[in-house]
Amino acid sequence: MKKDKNIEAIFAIKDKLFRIANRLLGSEIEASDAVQDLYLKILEKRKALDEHPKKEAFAVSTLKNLCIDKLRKKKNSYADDIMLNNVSFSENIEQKMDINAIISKALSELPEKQKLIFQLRDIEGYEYVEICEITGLTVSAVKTNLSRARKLLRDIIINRYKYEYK
Amino acid sequence: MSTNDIDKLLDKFFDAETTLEEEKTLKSYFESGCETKHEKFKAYFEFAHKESLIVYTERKQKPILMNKYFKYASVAALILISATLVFIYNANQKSKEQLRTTENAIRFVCFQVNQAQEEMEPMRLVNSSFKELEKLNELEKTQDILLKQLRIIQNATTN
Repeated sequence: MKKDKNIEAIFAIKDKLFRIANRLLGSEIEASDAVQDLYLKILEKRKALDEHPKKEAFAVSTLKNLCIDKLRKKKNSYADDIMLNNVSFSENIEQKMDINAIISKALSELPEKQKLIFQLRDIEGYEYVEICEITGLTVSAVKTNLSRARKLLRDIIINRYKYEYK
Repeated sequence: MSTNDIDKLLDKFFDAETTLEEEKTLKSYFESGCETKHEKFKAYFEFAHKESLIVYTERKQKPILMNKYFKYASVAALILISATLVFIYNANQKSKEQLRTTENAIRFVCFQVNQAQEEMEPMRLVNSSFKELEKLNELEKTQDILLKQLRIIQNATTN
């Protein structure tokens, strides 16, 4: 019964897991696949889940690793496509974009750590201690990465605000 | 909460020094309508709120794709099996025809041989008749001997 409860607890946070995977992978389809892969992995490693003191942190950490693996494979296979996409995204297009799209794009260009920490804190509302458990970083490293991400987004939003109301 | 407090809280927020409680205060401040001075930050909290509402959508394309591949594979396998069966059937038919032709040829040869044997039967009779004729020669020889002896006897009686 205890085992089932643990797995049910992970299934209950599927929306949260999907959002985290989506932030890291930048694709809803790939995020959905990653969540399914996570469930399979957790079912395989039931013992590890049962022994872990914090089930949710264990699941998010496993998901993070799955996403990083997927990103590595993707970068190797589509390195040229990524370069082309970056080149084609000019500033003129950016000015015409909706503010949410601009923030999403800025987030997608952040380093993986900052992206993940922003998602965990500002979207999912995790405590710093939990973020440390998931990422394996110290509290000060988490705060530094979060501050950088927040400030970058703040500057982008203020610039956009100034552009709209000048 | 005064504007000054919000300013301080925002500075703390961007330095990543706020607690979750303080962050909740900021969120509710922007949700309930902020002062014009802080309008420029509103998009940040609106974006975070909007993103937190995204729900998991299960992808079903993967099994459909698998089914498609499975369908294509089964059609290909069916074609391959049918082609192999047709090939085997044709090969079998050909070898049956060849067997039939060979059988007919052998039957024809046998028939010809039998016919030839039947035609040779009178010749065998002629051959045996020759053997009988050989006996006649023997008779003639015996006759000659007897005639010679008779002549000898006649001469002896006349003398």
